Amino acid sequence: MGGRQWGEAIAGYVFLLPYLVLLAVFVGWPIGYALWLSFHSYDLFSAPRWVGIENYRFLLNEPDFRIALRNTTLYTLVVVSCQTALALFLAVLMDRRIRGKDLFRVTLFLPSVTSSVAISLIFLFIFFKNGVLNQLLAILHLDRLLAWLGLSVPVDWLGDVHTALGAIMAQNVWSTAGFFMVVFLAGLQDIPEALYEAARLDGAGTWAQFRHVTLPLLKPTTFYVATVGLIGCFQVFDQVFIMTSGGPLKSTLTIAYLLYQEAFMNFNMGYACAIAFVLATLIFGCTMLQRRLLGD
Amino acid sequence: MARAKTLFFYLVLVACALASVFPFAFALFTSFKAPSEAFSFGAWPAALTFENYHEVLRTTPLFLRWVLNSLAVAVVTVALLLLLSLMGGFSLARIAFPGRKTLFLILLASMMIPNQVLWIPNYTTLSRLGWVNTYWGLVPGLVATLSTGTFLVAQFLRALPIEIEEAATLDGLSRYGMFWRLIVPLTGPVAATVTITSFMASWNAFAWPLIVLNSPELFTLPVGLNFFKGLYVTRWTLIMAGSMFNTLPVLVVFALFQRHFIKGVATTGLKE
Repeated sequence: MGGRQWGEAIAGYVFLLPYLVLLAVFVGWPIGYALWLSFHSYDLFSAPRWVGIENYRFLLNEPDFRIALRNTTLYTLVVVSCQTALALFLAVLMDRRIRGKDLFRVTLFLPSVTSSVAISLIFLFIFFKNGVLNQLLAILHLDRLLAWLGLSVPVDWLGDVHTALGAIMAQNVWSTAGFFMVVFLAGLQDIPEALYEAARLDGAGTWAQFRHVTLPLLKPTTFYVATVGLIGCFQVFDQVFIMTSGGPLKSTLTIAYLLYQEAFMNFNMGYACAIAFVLATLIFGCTMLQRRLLGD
Repeated sequence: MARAKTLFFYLVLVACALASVFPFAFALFTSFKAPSEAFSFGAWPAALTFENYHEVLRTTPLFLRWVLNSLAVAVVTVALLLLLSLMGGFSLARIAFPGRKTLFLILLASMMIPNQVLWIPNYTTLSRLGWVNTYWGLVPGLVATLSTGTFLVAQFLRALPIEIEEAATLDGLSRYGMFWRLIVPLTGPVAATVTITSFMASWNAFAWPLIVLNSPELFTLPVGLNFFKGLYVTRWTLIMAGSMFNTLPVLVVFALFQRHFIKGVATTGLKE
């Protein structure tokens, strides 16, 4: 390398250095340390003690972990499919000449910029026994349907084991669909109009155009939406913490919430690290699986 | 037929838009209601009262402090993240140096690591640094946002033509001069995106501040609100008024910059 190239390289590193230092100290090193800790018993006060794979073995037999794993998986499956479908539906609706397009876009996007804590408090009020949701359902006479389904009316949405997880799911779909709609809209704008014209010449109706042009060409976007959605859902914490604390009867206990409890309430740091690695592996595994399925 | 279709189509959109806004509107109206009115379904309060806001500030002396804490943390966070993202993005996009490709891949990978993996080791690092229960302790929680910002800036700068730099070099600017005099002014749109994403992330952050902060006077607003909820379990008009302190500033920022924000979302991770 000549002097000028050296100057270039040094400038490159100088500009990147602060970022790299933060990344190394707060992301790189922690991953290694967390892995190391997951093979130890550590309560934060005495020195870590080597226990081998004991934490992982314990975790596989722990009822709470199984419950959390089941809840989190169910939550992720339902929320990711609903929010992706809803976002795609809204994007297709919006992807044509309509009046007030910007206003609709901003309105639908609104929930995704708001604090999860404020939203959780608001929904706590909406879902509550004397809350607006039950009043609305009573006006629409849907409360009879709920009673027929075996729920005690008015439903204590967040306090009933049958509905608490579903209520948090609904809240999450509500708050993220608009965000993903914008991503889908960007994807839709990249599809050349000529392809639709060609399809119409071949006699394709609206549904056939959607099925054979829109969907296949949106594959990379769908992969992105499903992956980002999945990573977010697997980590669900704030809503559970504020709205249900994992209850009632652990029906909303999620992996992230269990991890928080074990680490910062029971001080089982090593065990919590093992939980974190199972979570990270799950997220990584599912992302790879999606890549296979939606392959780009 | 076509008319009925259009009508139906608008009905669906309006219904979805209403569903998006309803919870905020409902919370806002409730915050202006007298406590006795809290459970009445009619959204509009019978008599508009600021009593709830007044009472939040009067009965929770730290409330204003939490708002100011959040504001101060957000300002510092935005400034720091913006500067570091612009620097990092400039380096990765426009300067050739050995290892650049690898570093870019590391950046991408760091955006995909679940926060929970970092909670415990970062907490132990902080306790060694003596940063637990300090504002400095909030720094590690920001790194994920920093990676996203750096990535966005890099993608933006890559799209710029090389000629601008050649002209600057001919004018005798070094890489450092170029950064301040050429790159920073050019990055307006992407800088706006990074500014709002990092503001939102900092203003709304809950889990990490909850872990790091334990003195009430250091709480940021979301952590304070959780504490506040515990104090007024059943006084919904107060809780709604409290949550408005967290919601309204974001809505104002969003209203001002929504174009940049929506554009940033639309382009993240989609091109290349």
